[in-house]
Amino acid sequence: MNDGFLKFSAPFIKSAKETFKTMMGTEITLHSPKLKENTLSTGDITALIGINGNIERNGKVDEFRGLLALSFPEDVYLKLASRMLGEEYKEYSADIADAGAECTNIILGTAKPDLLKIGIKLGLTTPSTVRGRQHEIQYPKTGIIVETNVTCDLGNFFMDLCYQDTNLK
Amino acid sequence: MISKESKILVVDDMMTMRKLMAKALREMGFENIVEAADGNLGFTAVQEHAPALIFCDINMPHCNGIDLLKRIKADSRYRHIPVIMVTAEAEGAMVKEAIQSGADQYVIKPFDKEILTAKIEVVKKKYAKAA
Repeated sequence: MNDGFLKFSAPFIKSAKETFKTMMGTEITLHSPKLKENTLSTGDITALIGINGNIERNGKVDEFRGLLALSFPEDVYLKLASRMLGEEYKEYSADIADAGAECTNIILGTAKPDLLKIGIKLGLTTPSTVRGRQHEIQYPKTGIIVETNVTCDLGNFFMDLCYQDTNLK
Repeated sequence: MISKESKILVVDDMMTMRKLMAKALREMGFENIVEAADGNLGFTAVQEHAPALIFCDINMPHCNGIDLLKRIKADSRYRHIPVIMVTAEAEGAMVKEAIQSGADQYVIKPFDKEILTAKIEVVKKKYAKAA
């Protein structure tokens, strides 16, 4: 992975670790980031949030578009929601539909101060959830997508970061 | 005055966060929890339930948390109700606006029960002094 991705992903990795530890009491480990060549989900349930705002480089401000997606196999999502809410969910329902989305919201919110340090200033965005096997994810068209396998005691899932490869501070 | 019998209003558009906050408050001994899914429903709940304390998310569709906070603090019937803002925005701008608009405290997500307990205690002391 190039230097741009390392700089861009570091705030998300740090805040994802903190979020999962505080909200779910689990330590996550990220493995083998790789370029994703398609726009299909790896998991059954994907929580998404836009990484939208501006980037400042060399005194010039440009628009920045990106996306954070957490894609879970259904059984892992049920375990995550059960751990987060402290009650057991054996099937997907409206009660837990936004559990993953709230995780992306918190991860992005926590990452914002560190993103600002590399010149990216983000606005407010609303997370959403898509469900279904191999569903299409609406990544920003000009972005590079990097998929990272995440492991923890709840099981495995994937964190996708889509970003514009640009000169970060 | 906030006591274990007090009604507490939780306003958040995300059902998961409302459930999580309500669960944490129940574990802290508060049994009378009322929930609302946006600022407009939150204001209706304030009118109907006259809560002793409000936890309010900032980033919500329709009527956001800052708008609800301003409506509460502009209304002489409700401005005495302490409002603790909840946000995932760890950067200062939203929190600054909330404090300038009359928020009593703020909680940054992710949070745990200890944080909620500490924030409630600060609010209780502030209002006990003012009484």
